[in-house]
Amino acid sequence: MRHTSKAVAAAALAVTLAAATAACGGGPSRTEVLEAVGRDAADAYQAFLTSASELDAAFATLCADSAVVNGADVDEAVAALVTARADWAYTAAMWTGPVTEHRSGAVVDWFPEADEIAELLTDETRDLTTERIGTRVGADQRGLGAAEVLLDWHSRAAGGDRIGPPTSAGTPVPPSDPVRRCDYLQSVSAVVLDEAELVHRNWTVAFEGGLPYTETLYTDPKRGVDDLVNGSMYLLEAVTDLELGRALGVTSAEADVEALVEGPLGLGASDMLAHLHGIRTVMIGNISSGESAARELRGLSLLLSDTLAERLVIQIDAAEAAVLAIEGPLRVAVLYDPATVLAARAALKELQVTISTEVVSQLGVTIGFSDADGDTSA
Amino acid sequence: MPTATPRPNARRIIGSAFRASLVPRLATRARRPVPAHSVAAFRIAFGAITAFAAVRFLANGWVEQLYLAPRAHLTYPGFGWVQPIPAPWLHFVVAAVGAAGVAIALGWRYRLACWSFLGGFAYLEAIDATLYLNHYWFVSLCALLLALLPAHHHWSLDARSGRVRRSAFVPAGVVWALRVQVGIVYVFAGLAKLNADWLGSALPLRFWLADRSDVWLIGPLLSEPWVAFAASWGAALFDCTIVLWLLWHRSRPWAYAVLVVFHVATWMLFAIGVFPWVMIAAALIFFPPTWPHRLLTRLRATRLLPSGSPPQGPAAPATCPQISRVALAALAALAVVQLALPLRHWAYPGDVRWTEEGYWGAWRVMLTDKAAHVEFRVTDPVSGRQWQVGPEMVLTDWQVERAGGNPDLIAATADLIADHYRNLGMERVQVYADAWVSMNGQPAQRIIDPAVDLAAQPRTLTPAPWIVQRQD
Repeated sequence: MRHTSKAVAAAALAVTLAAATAACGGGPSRTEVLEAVGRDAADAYQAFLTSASELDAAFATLCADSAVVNGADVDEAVAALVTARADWAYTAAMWTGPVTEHRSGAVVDWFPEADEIAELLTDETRDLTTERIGTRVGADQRGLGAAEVLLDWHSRAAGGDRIGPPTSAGTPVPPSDPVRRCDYLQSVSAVVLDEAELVHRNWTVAFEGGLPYTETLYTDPKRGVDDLVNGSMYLLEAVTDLELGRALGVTSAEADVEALVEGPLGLGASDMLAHLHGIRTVMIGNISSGESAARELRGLSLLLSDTLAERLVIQIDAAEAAVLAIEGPLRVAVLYDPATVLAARAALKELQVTISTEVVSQLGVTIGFSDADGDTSA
Repeated sequence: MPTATPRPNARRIIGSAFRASLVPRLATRARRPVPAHSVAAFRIAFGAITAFAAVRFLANGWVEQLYLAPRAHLTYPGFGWVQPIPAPWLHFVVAAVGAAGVAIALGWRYRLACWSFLGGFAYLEAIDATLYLNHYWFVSLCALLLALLPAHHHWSLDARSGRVRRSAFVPAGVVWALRVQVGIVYVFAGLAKLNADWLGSALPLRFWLADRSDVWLIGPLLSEPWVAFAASWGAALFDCTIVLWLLWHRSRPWAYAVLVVFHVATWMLFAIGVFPWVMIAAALIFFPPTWPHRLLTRLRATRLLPSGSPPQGPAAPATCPQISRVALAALAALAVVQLALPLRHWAYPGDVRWTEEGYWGAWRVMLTDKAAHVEFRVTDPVSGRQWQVGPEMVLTDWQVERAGGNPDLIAATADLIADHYRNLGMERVQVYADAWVSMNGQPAQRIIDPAVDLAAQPRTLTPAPWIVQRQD
């Protein structure tokens, strides 16, 4: 009898708790917020999949007859490459789960090494199949960065112009067979497309044989929020300290413009802007700059205080405006208009400080990995 | 015109009455023999939990991660000479601490075990100040107390082997000392919670609980503000009053049940290791000294334990060990130190939660959430060059995370950076901090004066003039 009473009491308590839980109103839960961010991320990877596919098609058109380099085809390939770069850079704030597990960054876009690319291109004993580019060459010899270098060489070897501004980075065209250049280009785009398909499938269909990552993201909300905030923090740190900081001589004793990851297209500032758009999506929702005053906030800001969310809007808007003020290739701006680049860095740094302090504190984010005990979050 | 009252005389009378009556009466009562069962149980539980903690430390690879992997350690002021010994010797130290815990539990070579445990544990804790945890401090103090107290005359191998005189009694003062030790933790932890953030805004619990909204069943409730307020007020009330409830025999069982629920809840919600279990075990000292004996008797009656020889009840207190005069003096000094440490922050300007001057050893448990962003500006006056570096240049990620909100440890990091460049030949290098901290989710503020060369500042226990006080 006593056991029955206890069981009834326990059941009543559970029902009461469940009812109280269901009755909870207020703002959205972490699960709901992450579900929405996951959908935005899936859209971002869908966009990249589309642009990677268009890039592959553009390279196929360009190389339909490798002996003839058509200027219009080059322009189309360049346009496709610019779009693919921007779409990939946009996803950088969402590089959690599949991208980190597969190390997709080392496949899609890494730090291209022109010398290494030239060596592979001119070594005719090595084939340039998709399989080799995908699995047997260095990360600095493939991806969108390598495609930029190869496309530039392909255009110039046929007597065409540089694919980017004359002031952007360019390297001497190595003596090479146009057929090999085309094989290389097409293999690079095919590998990028494969990776885009894989990552998109992981986000929308299944990841590691389980749920699609859009669902994994919110089924473990603690990890989901931690990963997203850490992702934005590291991205900003990479831009402000590793790239701009070194190039400007702020985080190193000597200025080193080679710290910038910018190819012949001179897209350093565009990449930064796309990174910021990704951070905007994660933090305050996928709204375009300028709409902030009239928009409805989304993203992780729904879990933050109103004042902090407002400040994030202001800081992201300011950072985007500061980056937009950079004209031409970033490496040129660093050398000839450092004040503008310094201002952009300062705006990005301000955002970085806010995320790594206030956002981290309000969301209870664990920075990096620390499984040791603690009795304070200080 | 008021006439002067003979205050000095009154004081003298009260003082002499105090000395004449209260002190001797207390001393007499402290020497009175009481059953030793609860003290023995305290000793066994302490030894077992600390031994488990040492095994857990080794099994999780924390010796490597926390002591050996970092290139440098942030030591306590004046303890820069404490450095980790290389592997595998450091693993042996942790293993020896665990073995000493087992020996304490068994009451085998008890004094040696206690002092060995204390020495090893204190050494490990002194290596890196970013590893400071209040429960480690509590463990150190308990080890010191046990080393001073005769807790090994009952249920111990020393007593069984005749190494010490067997006795089922201890002076009541032994029980009191352990109760005071446990009580100090709760009372000061409770007093520290009486601040505007904790009570008025439910901070930082509001963020911490919302962070656990994934917990089964109650998760969604945890992100509700009213739950955070209830938890904040409840925790403050619990810490401030639990000792009183535990001391009163009528409320004791209920108070202990609440204590267990409280600590289990914190264990489930937050990564605080063995601390809840240490406190759950330690708080049993508030029960009557015979509680283990009664429990054993009841378990045997219900056949949950095999029936054997009936548990030995307390016999005549003919052989009660005494606390030596030296130990008494040490206990008195320890009591004074423990009262002074949590209150010393009043000697420093500003909010201790922000400055952390007077933080260590003050039982400010799970009280503040700080997130920091720290960079250092290095200047070489010889070449005139300056550049920025991050703390990760000399620290690991977890050291950066834990040191970031503590001005003293930021200054210690600046010292390490200065040492790095001095080793490269820049003898006059200067290091300035650009340090921003958000406390309890509030807007980030500077915590260090960016114009002060931290590498030129001595690390002392006096107030640091380069700390920028928090603006509300």
